[in-house]
Formats: sequence, structure tokens, C-alpha cells
Amino acid sequence: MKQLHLDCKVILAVLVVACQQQASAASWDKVSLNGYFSFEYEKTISGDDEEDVNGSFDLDLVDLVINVDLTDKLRLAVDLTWEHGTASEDDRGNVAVEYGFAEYTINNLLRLKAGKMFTHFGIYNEIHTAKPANLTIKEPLSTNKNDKFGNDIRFYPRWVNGIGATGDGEVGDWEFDYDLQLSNGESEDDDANPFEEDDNTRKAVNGRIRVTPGEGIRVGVSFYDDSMNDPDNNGERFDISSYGVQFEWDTYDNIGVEAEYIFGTVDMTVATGSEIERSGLTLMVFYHLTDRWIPYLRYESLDPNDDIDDDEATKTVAGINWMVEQNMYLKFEVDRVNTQDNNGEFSGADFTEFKASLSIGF
Amino acid sequence: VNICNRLILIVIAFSIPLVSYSTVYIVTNQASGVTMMDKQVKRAFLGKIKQWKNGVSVDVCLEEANEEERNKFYSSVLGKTPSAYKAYWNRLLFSGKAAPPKTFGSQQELMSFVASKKGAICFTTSTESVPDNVTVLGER
Repeated sequence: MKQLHLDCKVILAVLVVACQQQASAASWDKVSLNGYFSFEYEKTISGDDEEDVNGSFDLDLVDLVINVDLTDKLRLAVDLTWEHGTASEDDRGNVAVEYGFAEYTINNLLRLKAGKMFTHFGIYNEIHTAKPANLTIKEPLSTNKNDKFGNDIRFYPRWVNGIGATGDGEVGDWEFDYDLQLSNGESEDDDANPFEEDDNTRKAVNGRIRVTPGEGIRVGVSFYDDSMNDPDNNGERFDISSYGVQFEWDTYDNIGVEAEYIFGTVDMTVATGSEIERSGLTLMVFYHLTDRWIPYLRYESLDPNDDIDDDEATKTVAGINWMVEQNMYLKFEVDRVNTQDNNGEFSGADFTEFKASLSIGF
Repeated sequence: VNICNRLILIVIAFSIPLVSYSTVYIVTNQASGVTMMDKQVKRAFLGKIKQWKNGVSVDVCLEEANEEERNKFYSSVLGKTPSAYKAYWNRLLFSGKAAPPKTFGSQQELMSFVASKKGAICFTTSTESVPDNVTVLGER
């Protein structure tokens, strides 16, 4: 009986300690919960594309961003997303970890990261689904989603899983920030999961440096380098190299410009004896009509393969972004897509779409 | 003549632009080592530095002020409108670059946060009850 009494005391003590640990884990002053909601309407109003002739409502995104400041130096960041009204039982929509990484701050010039992250390349990839952070409804196809605009393979994958270094600094009056990532890269084999294992012997390397020479101006360069297996060619590899330059200018009360040019190669000489040279351009001009109304005009162009004639695609987007109230945005735009006959995605189809979106951030 | 003078006075009175009397303040924990409103203060509010020069971690916070007060702070200290500041932080937050500044609805909560966090720097609309270890860096 005495032994039982002692055991109960031990169990009680363990429970008390465990409860204290749980209380610590749920310390909400260390946690910030944010996210966004995006609801869209799309309709093809003229041309050869028949995908959205009826007009479609799309519960585009419900997204949660969780930041946990575990210590003064250690941050855990997680972004969870549910796309297109996810219902896994019916195999509808998509659920994804957009990013999940730990970041350790050494100093302002050096923070180390490990986990799944957005690929730090150019202007748009890291904010591609965050609709409250974008003026337009969709990110550019030409420089961000070129695999949906005529290329088989993107200039760089949307995410990478690995380690990274990032930092901010000053040189005189100029500010700069940089990112470097070493990762598994992308996998061509659909059965392989690059966020779990690397199916080739070489790691992907990418980086970006941006400089702010004056108020509201930022210029940057990016690169991505990777090798992948080609399952159709007995495991032979092909190499992806992409390079980008970017320019951003925003006066916050007048005109603004975002421009990005990406070029690079897909070297398949080992596998098929060929090499693809490709390039994409995005140019956007916007104007702060008031603090809440921002009209924009964007032009996109992609040459998927320099050696193939008549495969180019262009897209022109005209729209307006209206901040109805803090963090609630309504956007309306017309997108015109023109493609040439040898374009791998649209095969010469030209069409015009109307798009509207409601996005709310918190 | 008297009526004319009165009318002129009324016209002049209505012609004087409305003067804003609201004042906003930047306060910091003394352990941050920040003693003046320099470029580092602006960089802290823009999420561009994680540590002060003495190695203490930066913690930014904001008070839920009214529109006039917010305008005053964001334009005079950061050179941005409130919506531009929000848009700026949306990009940092959703890209995973940084956690957003903490926001407080009451003075008491804000001051207690600044007093408890060594690297805290905050925008507030009043300095009525400033704890001993908190410095008022400047006002606008």
C-alpha cells in the first residue's frame, strides 16, 4: 500500500512536470498566427481556350502561416495551404506545406535555415500564392510558371528542401540582402519525393543578391543550377542552369515598376544530344492612383526554345487592385494570351480571360 | 465695415488648414542600446535587422492607433503610407522572411511588452506611463 502511495506521488509529479512543459509549449506570446484567403472568378470571354467558357468560382486558397519564436535566435516558420476547396476523400484540390523551416540567427549578416523553403529566385516565387502580397491575381507565367506557358521544365522549382543562409547588410548608403540554398533540387521522376530523398548524385544550388541603392529602388540577380535524372533515358542526366536579373521601383505614392528577365539552358547532351536555350520576360507598370486604388499593366513573354521557330507565347494583363479596407483586396483584370503554332502548351491558341478576386490577409 | 471685417475674419478662419495635434512616439527598452532616431530604427521597423549593434534581438511592436496617428508615424518615420507598410510586411511575412510586428490595443500592454523585451522598439501614441527601463527615443 505504501509502495502504491509512493508510485502515485511519482506519477503525480511526472504529470505536473509534463503539464508545465505543455504550458510552455503553448506559450502564445511566442507564436504568431497569420494567413490569407483567396476567392476567384475566371471566365474566358473570347478566343480559342475552352477551359473557362462557363465562368468558374474558385476557392483558390485558404492558408495559415505560423511563426514560433522559440528563443531570441531561433524561429520556426510554417506555411500550410489548402487549395481549391480541398476534399481529399474525393481527390479534389490540393493541400501542401508551402514551407516549413527552422531559422537560426547568428547576426544580421548571417541566418542559417534548414527545411522546405520557397526557392529564392527573382521577384515573384516566394510570394506566388500570397494574394494579399501581390498586385495581380496570378503570378507571371513567363518567369515563374513557364512550365504552363510552353516549357516542360521550370526555370527553377517552386520549392527546395535543404539548407540555406540569408542575411541583410549595408555598404555605405546602400542596403543589400542575399540568399543561398543547397538542396535536393527537383526530381523528374514523379514517384520520387525531393522533399524526402535526392534521386541523383548532385545537389542543387541557387542564390540571389539584391541591392537597394536608393529609396524604393531594388535591383537583384539570381541563379539556379541543378542536375536531374531523365527516366526516359535509362537514368541519364540533364542539367538546368537559369540566371535572372530583376528591377523593382516603387515610390509608394506615384508610379512603380517591376521587371524581371530570366534566361538559361536545359542541357540534355548526355541524354539526347540536345540543349535548350530559353528566356522569359516580365514587365509591370503600376500607379498609386490613391492609397487604396492601384491600376496595373503587365506584359509577359516566353521563348521556350531558341532553336524552335514560332513557339513563343505572350500575355498582357490589365487590371486594378482596390484595397477595400486594411488587408482586404478586390482585384479585377483582363488577361490576353497570344501564342504561336509551335508553342508546347497552347499550340497557337489566342484567348482573352476576365478575372476577379477577393483576397484577405490577416 | 464691421460686418465686412467679421466676414473677412470668418473667411480667414476657414482658410487656415486644419492642423494635426496628434503626436506619436517611438519607445525602446534601454537594454537595446538605441539612444537616437537613426537609420537603424527605420531598418528595425522594416524587418531588415534582427539584432541591435550590441547583439540584443530586435522586437518590433505597434499600437493600434487611429488613422491620423498611423499616417503620421508611417509617413514621418518610415516614408510609407499605412497601406504601403502593410503591403510591404505582407511580402516579408508570406514569403517566410520574417514574423510580423506585434500589435497591441492598449498602452498598458504595449509598455509592459517593451519593458519585458530587451530589444523592443515600438510605436505608441502616448507616454503617460513609461516604465523606468523604457526610453522615449523621439516624437513626431
